[in-house]
Amino acid sequence: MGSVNPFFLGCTLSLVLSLSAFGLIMIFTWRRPKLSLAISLTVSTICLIIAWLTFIKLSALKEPLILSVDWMMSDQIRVPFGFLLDPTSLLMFVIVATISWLIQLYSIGYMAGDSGFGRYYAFLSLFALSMLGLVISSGLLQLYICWELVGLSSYLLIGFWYEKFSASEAGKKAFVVTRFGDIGFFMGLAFLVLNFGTLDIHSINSAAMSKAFPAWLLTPAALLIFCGIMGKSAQFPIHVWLPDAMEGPTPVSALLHSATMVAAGMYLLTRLFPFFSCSPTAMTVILTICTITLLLSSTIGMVATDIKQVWAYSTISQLGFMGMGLAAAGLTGGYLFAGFYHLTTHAGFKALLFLCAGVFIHHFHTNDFFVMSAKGGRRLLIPMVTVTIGALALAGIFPFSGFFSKEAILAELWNLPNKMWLGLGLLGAFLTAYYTFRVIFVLLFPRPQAVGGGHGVEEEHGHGHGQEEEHGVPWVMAVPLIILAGFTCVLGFLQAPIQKFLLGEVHHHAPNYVLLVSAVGCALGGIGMAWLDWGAKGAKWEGFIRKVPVVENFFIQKWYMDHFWRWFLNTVIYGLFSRTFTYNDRRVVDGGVDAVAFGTIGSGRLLSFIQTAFLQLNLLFMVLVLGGIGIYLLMGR
Amino acid sequence: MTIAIPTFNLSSIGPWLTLTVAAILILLLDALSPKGRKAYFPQLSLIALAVAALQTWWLWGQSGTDFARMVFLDNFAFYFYLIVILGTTLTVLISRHYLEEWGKNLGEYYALLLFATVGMMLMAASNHLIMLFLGLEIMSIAIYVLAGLFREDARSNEAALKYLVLGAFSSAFLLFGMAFLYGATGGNLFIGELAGKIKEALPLTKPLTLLGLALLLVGFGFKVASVPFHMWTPDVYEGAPTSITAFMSVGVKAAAFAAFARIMFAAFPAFVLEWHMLLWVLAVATMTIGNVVAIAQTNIKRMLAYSSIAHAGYLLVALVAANQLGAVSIIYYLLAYTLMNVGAFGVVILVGRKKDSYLNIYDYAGLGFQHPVLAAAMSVFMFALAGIPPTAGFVGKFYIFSAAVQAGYIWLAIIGVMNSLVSVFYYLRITVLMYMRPAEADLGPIAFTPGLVAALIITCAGTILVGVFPGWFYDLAVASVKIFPAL
Repeated sequence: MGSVNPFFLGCTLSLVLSLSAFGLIMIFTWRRPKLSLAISLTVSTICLIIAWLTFIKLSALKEPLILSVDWMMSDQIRVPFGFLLDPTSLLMFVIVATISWLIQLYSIGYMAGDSGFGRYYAFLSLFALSMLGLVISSGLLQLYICWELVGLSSYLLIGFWYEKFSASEAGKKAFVVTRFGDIGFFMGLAFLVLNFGTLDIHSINSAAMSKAFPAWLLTPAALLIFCGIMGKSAQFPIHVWLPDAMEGPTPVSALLHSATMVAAGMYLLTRLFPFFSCSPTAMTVILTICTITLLLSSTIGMVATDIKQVWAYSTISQLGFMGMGLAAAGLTGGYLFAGFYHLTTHAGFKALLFLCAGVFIHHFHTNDFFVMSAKGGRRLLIPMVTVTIGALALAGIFPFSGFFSKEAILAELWNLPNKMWLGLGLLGAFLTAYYTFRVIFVLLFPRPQAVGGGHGVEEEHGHGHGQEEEHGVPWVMAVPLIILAGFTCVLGFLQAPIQKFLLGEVHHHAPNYVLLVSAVGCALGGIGMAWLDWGAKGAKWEGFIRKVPVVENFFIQKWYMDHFWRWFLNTVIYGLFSRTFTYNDRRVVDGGVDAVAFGTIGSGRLLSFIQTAFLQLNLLFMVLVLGGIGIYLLMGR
Repeated sequence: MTIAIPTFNLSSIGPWLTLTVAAILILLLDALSPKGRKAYFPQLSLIALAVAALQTWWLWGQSGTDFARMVFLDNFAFYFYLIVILGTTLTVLISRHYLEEWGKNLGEYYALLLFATVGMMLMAASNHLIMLFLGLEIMSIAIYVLAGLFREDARSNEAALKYLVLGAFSSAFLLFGMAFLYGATGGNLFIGELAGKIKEALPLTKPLTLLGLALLLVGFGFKVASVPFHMWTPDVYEGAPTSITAFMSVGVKAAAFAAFARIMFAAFPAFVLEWHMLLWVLAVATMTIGNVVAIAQTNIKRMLAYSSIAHAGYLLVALVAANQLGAVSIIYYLLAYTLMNVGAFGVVILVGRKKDSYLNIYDYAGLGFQHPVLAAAMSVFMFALAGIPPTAGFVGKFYIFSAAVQAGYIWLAIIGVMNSLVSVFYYLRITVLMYMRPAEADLGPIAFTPGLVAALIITCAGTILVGVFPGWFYDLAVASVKIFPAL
């Protein structure tokens, strides 16, 4: 191996530091907010510097850098632990480090004065540790461990205000629902390691590229692993945890939705892209599920009134969009670029949107953007400008980053023989633009009288107004907004360099004007529709969907998915499985175990009774046994 | 008549010499230094042990014999040197405060520990049955004295007396067995040559050899505390000073298994079927009785005594497997066992206090709330002893049982795993008591002395490190079992 590469030292350092920040704060300094903040922020800054340095130094990387140690258990199975640095992981490493640094900075303002301030920063460090470990891991088992750690830390952060019942419930829901997917993921890993013999990501991918996988192994393994992705990235039908996860502090939502928890799923899909793309069956399933998710969440986003809920559904829909891009690329023999590029840009603008929402929520102490608007939300200049930038990017308007990455994904969909997928993608783009600008227009053009219970709001309004004149937006919260808005404006123009970095070469396509026009048309159409419904002077302030109350109700009830799961849990899980299993557990297993246990304890007592303190007996016994052994040996044969 | 003095190289027994010299030095200093100024013996012992470890490291990789073929120089022996040195070092670390509490921080304690260590090394390295017997006696006699160190304490006296009488008896068996082999092979007791000689004389002396084998089995069975020769273990482990109990449970076991494995692997290929069958039965009985009886114990030292019997059973499984992985797993497991068991006894000493007043397992109730770090360490040891990942105990058991499966003893592996399951009950009971039961009374202060803290940190970190990164230790063990070509 020779001397250890300094980059790996950097990786190790960032992981170890994050872990020790978590440990230090949890054990020693959690009662002292300032000190905890200092520790966590220092570590985060170091990670940020390491990430960028590694990224810049390795930007001309030809071969992936691998440092892996086999966790030795057997000859037939290879379970490596270590680091795999290739363009994909490097880019993600930078994204994660940057976003988590910004969020830590922002949280200084947002969480100021919270009684759990130290604990909050400890959890953020744990989150950074698990996500960084996930991104650069060289083996799937290590990835899985970090994957679960990510789940754990989001559980801790979603339920951060655990004294609030709904928050602790939401934390539990996030943890348990993702578990459904993770079971599949784990079975996929077991299946893979038993039949293929290694969990090394690089060798899996290169084996897949040289077509070394038989189909019977490939498709089930890919589908099982995709189960985990569905859970983490909140894809239909196990997306139900993500909207509830809004119970956590808003910066946490920003972190969760941009660079960590949900991004982990899509990152895994990207990571194993060559592997997945060998199985057309799996890719078709992924495409279908992602498309359903896109439409489902966009339509629910149209009717939500909680600003964080809207952004949450937009995250789900954008993740679906990324999945569609990757799946389409896999089916047509394309590259992972489009989907991953959208992941990159999305990380920027979604963090931005959430952090802006956080400023509003911090200011007005409400999540309902109608109320915010009534209280004068548009007077907060910086967040209002930046949220508009984020929304433009989300809607896919030139020249913001979302435009470019959406365009790339739509180009992949265009390549599919069946143009239905493209149509659905465009529909998704239209809906996205519509619900995004619904929020923006409501915030920009307040109509206090339209909000129910206007009187009370007015009173609070006056009070809030006085305060906001005093302190405005603290700089620690404003700076991350401005930085992220900057990213959102710039990232789009970096498409070619990023593509070169990821793929090693730039693939120039002749611009497809039909696609371009239709995509921009859809986005502008969505905005226009929103303008007609919410922005224009004579707008009725109700969505066009109100014309069909049945459908609107269907959307408001979130496609009855929560109801479905409740029913499923009650009837199938509790009613059928639990009842049978409980009976079996009580009668057969418990009874059996009790019998064995009592028998064992009883025989333990009995045997210890035989144990006497008489030397003579002991000696006699030894001699007798010796006699027995002698007889056996001499007469035995 | 001329007596040819064989050439020999003193450096090949360097570790023994160092420890012996240190032990004699301690005895002399003890006699010469005035009362009340005897605090530096532990440090002196630790330095000697460190030097011995270093010398072993220098010897690593050598092969062959020395001292007229009496002493083996091979990695198998050296690995055991290291295990034994580790065990003694940890024992020295946990001893000091405990002995001071009893007013027994004496020079001879450390001298005897070092002598016993030399005996153990001799057992691991001897190429001649008489040498082996000498090593065994050097070790045993030192330990008889150490077990009776607290002579005002009736239980300590009982322990020493019992161990002495039964130990003498088992030594006699062993010696008797060697005598039979001496007769059967026509006067040759070199372990390396026994196999050939036995085979040569097989038609004539088969009964004699078999009787010798039976007697050896009984003798070693006693030393490793295997059922049905385990009767002394609970009483002696309970009565002896706790630090000595820790030392016996790891050091004596390691040395006895080193010699046992070497003789069985090297000398009796002609009777593989017989001794496999016998040890199969012994292993099952040892595991089962050790674990089952441990459940009924309420004294923690007694519980750990039965647990130590059970662990001897697991090691016998590896011996029965008698393949390369089996030999590797014996070495690996003894290393892991040294770490986790001395650690557990260290906690027992800390919690015991005031001349072992708190040895009942219910004294551990509520420890998790009053002394969280100590309880966490104890939990690590209990998890390791129960064989739960990611500790060293898990990997060790994994190697042992896979060796058994590899050798075709699937039922033995199954019984072993079932036993391991039973053992979880009494190990985890301690953890449950510590964390889920409130303390009946305030536990009071626990004196954390530097030595004990150091021992706990080493054992705790070692238990986890050896479990998480087994590769390096595994490779070393593989390198050291290469000397058994038959495996």
